[in-house]
Amino acid sequence: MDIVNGQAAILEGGNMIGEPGQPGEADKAGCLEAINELGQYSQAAVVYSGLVVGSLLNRGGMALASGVKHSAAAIQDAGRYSWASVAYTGLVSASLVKRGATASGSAAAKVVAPVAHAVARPFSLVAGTAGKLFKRTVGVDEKTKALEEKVFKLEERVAKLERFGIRSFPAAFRPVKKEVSDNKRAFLQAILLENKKLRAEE
Amino acid sequence: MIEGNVLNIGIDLGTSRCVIACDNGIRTFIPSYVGYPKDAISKKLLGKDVVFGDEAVKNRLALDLRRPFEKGMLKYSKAQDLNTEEFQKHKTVAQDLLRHLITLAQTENSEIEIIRAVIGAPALASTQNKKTLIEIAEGIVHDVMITSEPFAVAYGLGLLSNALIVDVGAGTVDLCRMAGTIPSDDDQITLTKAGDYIDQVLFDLIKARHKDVDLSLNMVKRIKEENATISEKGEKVLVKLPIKGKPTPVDVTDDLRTACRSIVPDIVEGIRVLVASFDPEFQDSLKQNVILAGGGSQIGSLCREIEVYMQENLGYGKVTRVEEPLYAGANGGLLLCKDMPDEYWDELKKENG
Repeated sequence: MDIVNGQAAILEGGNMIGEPGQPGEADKAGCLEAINELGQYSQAAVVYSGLVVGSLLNRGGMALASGVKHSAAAIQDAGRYSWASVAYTGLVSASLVKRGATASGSAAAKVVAPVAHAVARPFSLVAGTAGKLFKRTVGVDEKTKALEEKVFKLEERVAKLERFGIRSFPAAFRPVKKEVSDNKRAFLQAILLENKKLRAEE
Repeated sequence: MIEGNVLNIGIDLGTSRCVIACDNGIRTFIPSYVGYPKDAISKKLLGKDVVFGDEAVKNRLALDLRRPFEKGMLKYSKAQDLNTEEFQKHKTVAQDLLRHLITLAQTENSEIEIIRAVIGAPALASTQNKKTLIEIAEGIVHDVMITSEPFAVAYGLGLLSNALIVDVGAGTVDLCRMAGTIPSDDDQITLTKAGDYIDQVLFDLIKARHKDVDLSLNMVKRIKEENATISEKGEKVLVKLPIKGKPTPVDVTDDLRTACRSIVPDIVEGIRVLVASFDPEFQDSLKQNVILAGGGSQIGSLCREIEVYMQENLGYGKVTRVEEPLYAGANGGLLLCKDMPDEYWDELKKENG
């Protein structure tokens, strides 16, 4: 406001001082005085402006700091409110679902149960058949033992195959005792006697 | 009377090879070597506590290698050595070897309840030697009988009279005169110049001719087994032997022939003794029926060489080699084992208590 007045004063001063024709000494002195005053006004205006800006900045900074502080508090409050609202919504939803389920449960069960039974039936049959195999492990009976023995024999056979490899054998594996001639029998008896004698000797 | 599956085995526990023939169709042999790992590292390397035969020979540097039999009998089995630590050690080695042989005899699908064995012993093995063989077999087989090795050969071939069996092994050469009865001591001769003797002679001859050659008895044995012949018409035998580390071809033809011939005079002398002490009326038939068996009889032209010697010393001789020289003893033992009536085995068992 003061500045505007100042400028007006300068213009005003210029029009008032300036007479048509040549300016006098008094006019010159008045101009200088006016310029001097204008300079002082300008200087004062700048200082004032600086002070105002500084004040504004200071206040802005304080306001900002305060704002951040308040904002943080506000966010915290907002969070609390949000949580509360979510919890509330959840509770309401649960309540609605519960009430809905109570209301529609019996009807749905009537619709779903036969379908579920139909779908589960094949699985039930499979489970029943397979279960027989496993159920017996609970009570170890003779058949299980027989199976275990068979598995054991198979394992033994595999071990032997690994050890000896696969070989072919004559069809008549079990030796057949042939009747020996009397001549040979005499030899065999002599060998027996020799061996008996060998064992008897100290 | 014993009921159940019986496995009959004929066993020839030889100095160089152990041979088995079983009535389940299995016939096999392994070199008579048993090896025990020298330390934990070699044990880990081999993955076994005991190794046998070729595997033992192959890994001998990592093993305490043992050959339990010498001159056809267990080492240190003379009466004066029975309480020594060495005898017990060799007895354990022989038991390991026999146990391994019995394992080889069993098939994967057999349910054997009783194992019976007839083991061949050198012709003139002492009573103590035979008893030791029985002790070795006890606990490994259920029933065991010992018989003279050349007699087992004769029994297997069905030559129970007017035949002279010459069983050429590594440790001994056994001669046995068959006269329709169980041969007595007078009917049998055991010579100690056999396969191992040939190895030693060949070793000495090669060493004498090529002083710088690096040679072992094992190498000589291999050269003999691959090329042994007495024939003059055979090809030259060139073998690569290391001389100062470099494999060098060495001609061993003459040395090999000389070494193989070294056992012939003693064999012919043995034949002469047995023929000369036989009934004069049957001497010719005995000379016509000289049968060679055993691993040593595989030496080329050995039959012909003995015939020539017999011609010179006995006026005449016909020598025939059996079809399977290596298995002749084990085959005979198997036949004896199979033919032996069950009541005889039972009787022996009762005798044992």
